Amino acid sequence: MTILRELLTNVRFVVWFSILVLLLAYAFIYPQTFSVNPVRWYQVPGALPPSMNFPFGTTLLGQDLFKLTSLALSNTLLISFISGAIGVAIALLLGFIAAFTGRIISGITSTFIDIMCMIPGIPILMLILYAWRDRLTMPLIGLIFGAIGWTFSARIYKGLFEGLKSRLFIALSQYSGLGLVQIMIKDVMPYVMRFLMVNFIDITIWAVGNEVTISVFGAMKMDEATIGTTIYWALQYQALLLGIWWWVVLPVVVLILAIASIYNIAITIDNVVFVKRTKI
Amino acid sequence: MKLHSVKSLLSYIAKRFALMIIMIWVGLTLSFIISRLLPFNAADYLVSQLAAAGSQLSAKDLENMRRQLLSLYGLDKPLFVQYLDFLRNYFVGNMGPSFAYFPTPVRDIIINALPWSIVLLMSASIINWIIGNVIGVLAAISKKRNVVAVLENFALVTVPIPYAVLGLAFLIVYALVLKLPLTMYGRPVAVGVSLGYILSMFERALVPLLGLVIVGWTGSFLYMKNLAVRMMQEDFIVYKILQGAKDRHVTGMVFRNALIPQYTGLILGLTRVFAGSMLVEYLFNYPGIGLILRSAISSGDFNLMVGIVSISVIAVAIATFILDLTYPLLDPRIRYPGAG
Repeated sequence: MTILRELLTNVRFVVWFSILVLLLAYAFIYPQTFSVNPVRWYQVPGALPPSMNFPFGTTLLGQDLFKLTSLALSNTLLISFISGAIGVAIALLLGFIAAFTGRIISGITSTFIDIMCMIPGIPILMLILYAWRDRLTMPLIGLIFGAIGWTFSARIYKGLFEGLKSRLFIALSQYSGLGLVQIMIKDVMPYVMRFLMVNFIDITIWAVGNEVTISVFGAMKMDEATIGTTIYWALQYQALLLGIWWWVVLPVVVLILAIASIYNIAITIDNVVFVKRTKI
Repeated sequence: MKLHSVKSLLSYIAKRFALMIIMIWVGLTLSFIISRLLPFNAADYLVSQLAAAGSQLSAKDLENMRRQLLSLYGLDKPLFVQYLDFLRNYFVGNMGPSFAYFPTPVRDIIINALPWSIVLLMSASIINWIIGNVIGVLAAISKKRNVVAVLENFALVTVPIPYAVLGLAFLIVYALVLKLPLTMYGRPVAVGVSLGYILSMFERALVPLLGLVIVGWTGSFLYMKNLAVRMMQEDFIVYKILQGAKDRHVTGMVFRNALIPQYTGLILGLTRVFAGSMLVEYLFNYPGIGLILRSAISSGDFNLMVGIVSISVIAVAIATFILDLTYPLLDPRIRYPGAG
């Protein structure tokens, strides 16, 4: 309860949390009211600047950008959240193996993690998404992102577990006769919890960035609305040259707001809940 | 240098070299697996593209061509032989012909683009790293709290935003708000090892580089500042200060000691900068790997894509190895094991 009170009196948390709630409602609830898919062309007059009727203006292709951005944001966030969850799970597993198994297996796993950290993931992702784009759905794309994005988090978990292994209080629990499962839950979990959140956010934001990059290169499922594909079509139709700046600028602004709110919420929670209570 | 330190240096280099080879092998194996798990194969794909282009070929000719292409790409052999061929071909630098520019070899297209990308990637990561670290140390010991707070807030705001989004934001500001010109375009310089060519590379890299540097230094800045703040409390620095050392000397000492973990950051950061630099290359029409990857995707040139993926893995592996080789210069513990 004190944690909740501490969070709710934190101005930074309240401001960013309200922004995030608004954005999530905009991304996931607002699209439920659409009767026609906003991706379809020529529903509204093309290339209108932002106005009362069309808060974000319209695209050259006659799409209402306010509705399009809403759908795009929901797809981008869906991909990123799934990838964050999958990535953290893989990272946790590999970090655990690298720290707690025998010499040979842990050596191989550590080398594997190091190597995967250095292999550039983006071109590989582009290749996979380009080749299978007809068969992929948004959750599947998130899965693939997660399968590539775990690398740096796995290093962090490995370091964390190795550090914990040599800590005295864990040895004390062990000598006092506590079982492995109990040690995991009581001694290790509080430390892991913090990094679970931090790494989830880290991989999620990484996935947002890569989704945008890959889409701007045209290797995404191009007929689905994501923030990246929206920007792709805007650049493809020379939106900046034609002066239809809102087609590029507004989706980017919405995306930056979303990332900033997620990041700031994570930072405040981390400060309030973990930094004061656990000492690493 | 004593014999045992030479020995340990050599064993360090050998280990790093082995790591590079393993990394290249893993990367190539990954791209082999992906390219063979495709829902289509190269020969069918190329033939269907020819047929779609409306060429006047009979079914028999097309079938013949398909068989020719299968053997050209080595797809008619058993999978294991294909794998060995794939590895051997990369070793000798033969990646087969491109689809879109058939029969130009993929190798030639990539070789033309690679130096450009290396210039951009290396200068961006090194400049970012130097700026970030120098400002980081200065911020940690500086007494001008306001300036430090401004820098830190700027860094905290930009650090979570992905490179791709920042690259787009930079494009919008550069082209739309400031309306700055891209002056160095449309002046081709003959390819070759000449001073003019290298200078033209840097000249053309200027704007994309600016985009990567304006926001790229923040990561190492924040990390360095935290590191330096913590280091200021270390006994040996406190001792130095109590001895009455000048600020300049203290800065130097903090910097020298914080350099080693930061250098690891530089090496590991290469892949992340790589992603950003590819996008910036495309957005600013810079003729590197990013631009040819974009054209490969838009023309469905799959063989070129596989080539680019493999080459980027190899390039990053080699760059990492080169940076690893300079590591002993910084960290004396590698040169003199057991001495510290």
